[in-house]
Amino acid sequence: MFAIFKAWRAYTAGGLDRRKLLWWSSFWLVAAVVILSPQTATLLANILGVGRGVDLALYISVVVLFYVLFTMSRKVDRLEKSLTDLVRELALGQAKKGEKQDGGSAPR
Amino acid sequence: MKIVAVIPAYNEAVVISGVVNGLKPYADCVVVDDGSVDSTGELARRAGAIVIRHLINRGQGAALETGRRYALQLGADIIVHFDADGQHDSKDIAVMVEPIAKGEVDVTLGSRFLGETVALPFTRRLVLRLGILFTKFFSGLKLSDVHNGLRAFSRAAAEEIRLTHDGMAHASEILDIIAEKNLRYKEVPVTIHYTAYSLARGQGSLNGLQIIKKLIIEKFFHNQ
Repeated sequence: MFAIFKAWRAYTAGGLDRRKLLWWSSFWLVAAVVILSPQTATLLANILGVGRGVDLALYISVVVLFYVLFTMSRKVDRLEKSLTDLVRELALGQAKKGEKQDGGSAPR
Repeated sequence: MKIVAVIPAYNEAVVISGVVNGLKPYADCVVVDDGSVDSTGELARRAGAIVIRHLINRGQGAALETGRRYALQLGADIIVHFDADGQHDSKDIAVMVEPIAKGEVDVTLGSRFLGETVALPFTRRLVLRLGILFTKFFSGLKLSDVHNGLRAFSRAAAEEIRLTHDGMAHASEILDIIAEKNLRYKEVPVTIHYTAYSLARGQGSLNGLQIIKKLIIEKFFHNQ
């Protein structure tokens, strides 16, 4: 309840956009329902063919975690690549500037 | 004929001056100082090399790629990769360059097994053998030595070989590109000096496994 309240506060303060607000509100709402009455989770689990509600939560979280891990590693790869590009451009730019200061003389 | 040696260096202050001085008679030296925290760059400059400095360490592959671009800007006719740790012999440059200068091949690759190897430890020999099998399997090139840092490229070949692996996997990447673009290549026997220094600085044998892992992952996610 408190978390939802906080999310709304952040929304009105302009820190959250509408999509994120909806996402977080529903997340905490579902969490609250499942904690207050665990049998709803079991009900849902039975519909999906999983024995217990706890198991369902576990399965979902594993899937979500792997997905997050995957997207994160892709993101890190992209970051590393752009970092290298940036460092390289800086290095080459610096080298060019150095040449000019030498009066454009051929190195060596 | 303008020969440019690209020397990636990361914290090699102890040996860099000697390497640059040894190379100077044979080639223009471009040292890519890959974010060293010691005086590698300064010493290389004093020894007479052109120094390009990466502000932060990005790995040997990244340094070689930076060096490649710079060497092409300099108007190099032949680009040579040369390790900064003193394991290569600058006298080998002439042998490496000759087949390219004559127009026989586009790329020459140094091979320690065709040549004379000074004090190669057994475990390292084993890992290198595995590397040969791996290369044969994936790129179809039949080589006697796949992770040798001494290579030479004609200008045309260097323009084709754009490296995307920042780390040590670039060695295999180069071979992949050679196979893919059907570049003419030749192995040349070279001398490797396995000194205590170069062994300590070089890749551990375990590192070889990591390179293989990375390349296999790369085969699955081919998006560069």
